[in-house]
Amino acid sequence: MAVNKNVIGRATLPGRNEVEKGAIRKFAEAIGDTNRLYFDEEFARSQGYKSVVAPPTFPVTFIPGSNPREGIDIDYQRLLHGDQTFVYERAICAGDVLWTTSRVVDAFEKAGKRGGSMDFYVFEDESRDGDGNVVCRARRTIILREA
Amino acid sequence: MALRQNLVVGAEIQPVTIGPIQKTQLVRYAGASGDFNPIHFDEEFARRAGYEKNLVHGMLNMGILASVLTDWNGKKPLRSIQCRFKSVVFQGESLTCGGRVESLGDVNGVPIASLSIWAKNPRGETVLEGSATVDVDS
Repeated sequence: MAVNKNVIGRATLPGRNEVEKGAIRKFAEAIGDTNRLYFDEEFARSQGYKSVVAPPTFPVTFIPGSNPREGIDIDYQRLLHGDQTFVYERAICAGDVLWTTSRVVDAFEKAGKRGGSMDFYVFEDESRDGDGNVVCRARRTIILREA
Repeated sequence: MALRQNLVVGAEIQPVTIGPIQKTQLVRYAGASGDFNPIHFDEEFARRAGYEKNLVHGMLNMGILASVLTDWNGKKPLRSIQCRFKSVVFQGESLTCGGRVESLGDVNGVPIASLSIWAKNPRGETVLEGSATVDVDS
């Protein structure tokens, strides 16, 4: 299926994401990261944080307020992750309520090695606190490889 | 705040090998992250996609690499991390992570380091390649 360039520039509605202690703990356990900042609230407070801290890749769990992939044909057998960036303005902690918006910033195709095409979609996400301050930016490229 | 002692441009982050990454961990990560692509836990589905075994989530590889960085910088949150996904890790394989200090600077008086970072699979392929910015105060 050809890349859908009509989605470029489209943004989702903001989605509410409440950062929870249990979700942080389970995420850190799944990675195998034993950093006390992710598990021990008293310790995190003693280090100057308001509660347990989210691991660096935790914002992958933030969900926008509408489907960022609408109009993009996602075939799980062809889906690859091309690149991923996170930029943090401050530590993300349990108790934060963040509003996440995702925007399609590019869509293009490249010739594949087997005569087909590979479709690329680039998304940029912004997660803001209740005062509108950006807390985290994320950028990712997904690739739909040749069928 | 003072720069961590003996930290110089060119310093290597001692490579760390994590794993083997087993299917239980993939299922756990699927649940914790919300990425339920069956390619990570359904072997038949992975085979139909052309892979002999289930693939480790790219974001799990990146999470493991990030944990090696935070272990190195005194467990402090990162300022940024960026990775390109260049190859895959199969279920049952391990991941070796490392990096290097490329430059030193400061933001509002806090010493920071820019790092190049990488992860390889046991077949010698580079799985992740990227950069990160971290606090390096003592």
